[in-house]
Amino acid sequence: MKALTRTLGFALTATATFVAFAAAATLALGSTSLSAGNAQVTSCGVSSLSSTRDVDNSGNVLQVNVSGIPATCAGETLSVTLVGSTGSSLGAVTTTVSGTTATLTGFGTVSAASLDSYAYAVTGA
Amino acid sequence: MKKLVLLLIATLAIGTGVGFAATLGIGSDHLWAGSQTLTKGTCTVTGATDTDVDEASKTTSFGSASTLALNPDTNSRRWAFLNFDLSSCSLPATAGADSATLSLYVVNAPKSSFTLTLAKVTSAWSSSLTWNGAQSLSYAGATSTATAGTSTGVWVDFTVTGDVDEFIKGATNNGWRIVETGSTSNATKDETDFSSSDSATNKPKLVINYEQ
Repeated sequence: MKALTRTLGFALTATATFVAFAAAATLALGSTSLSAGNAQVTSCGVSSLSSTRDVDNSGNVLQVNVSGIPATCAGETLSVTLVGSTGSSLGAVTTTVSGTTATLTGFGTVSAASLDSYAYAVTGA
Repeated sequence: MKKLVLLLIATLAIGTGVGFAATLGIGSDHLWAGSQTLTKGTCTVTGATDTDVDEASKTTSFGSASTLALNPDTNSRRWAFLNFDLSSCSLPATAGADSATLSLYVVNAPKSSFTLTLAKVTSAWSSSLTWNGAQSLSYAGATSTATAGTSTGVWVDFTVTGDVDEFIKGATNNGWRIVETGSTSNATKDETDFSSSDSATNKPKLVINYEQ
């Protein structure tokens, strides 16, 4: 029983450690750098991104036009998610950055009226 | 039991790591994530620069008339033109239309239903436009259609979301032309009239639901 208690204690500690690392990664989203363990993750220089969207006459999103991408992010991966009022994803598209702006298509049929925010992620090697 | 607990640990740890990595790209050297929240609003523009032109009176301007007439009859066709000034909405070029509806109030209904087709005008015009002048304008393809039934005192709505979205973003706004496309019968001698911006009440209106 004593051994089992020790094992369970170890289990909880280890789990908490993993969760802590993951939580740290989550909390550092607004930062310009992020570290977990021995590795450090930095941004390619993005501080904010801005988008507009074009619609068809039915009010559905045709494309999303992203601006404000630093030139230093060329070759990295940009993901844009259209987010609805409940925080749910209405559609997402990923592209490789090749300039300071990006035009993304292929979100499916998404009504602009239901779009409440854009969520961005820029990742790269 | 010990093995079972260790298996539980491994499962939790791997599951947690993979979940966040998939979202955030933890495995990458570069990582940034952020968001942009949109603000929604509504703007109604009442009244426009508007007129109609008459094939039977090719050099006459009807810019100060209180009605906009539409007629499909051969040699007596009448077309309506409207251009709403969106500046009162004070929308930046980064905004966009979620939906936009142009509404006209019927003061004289046709004897039979009219199919009305609305299209962007792509060259400049003024309220002194005549039939002859309208022939030298250029027009885009149809934006939308609407039906004018046989009832007077009702609003007829055209969906113009795509066009208004472009105007907000800076495209030149020369407004729209509306024509009757469902009939060309010379025998019909039919016409429908809408309140114009020179009418005291029920002026043409454009309702824009926007985001910025």
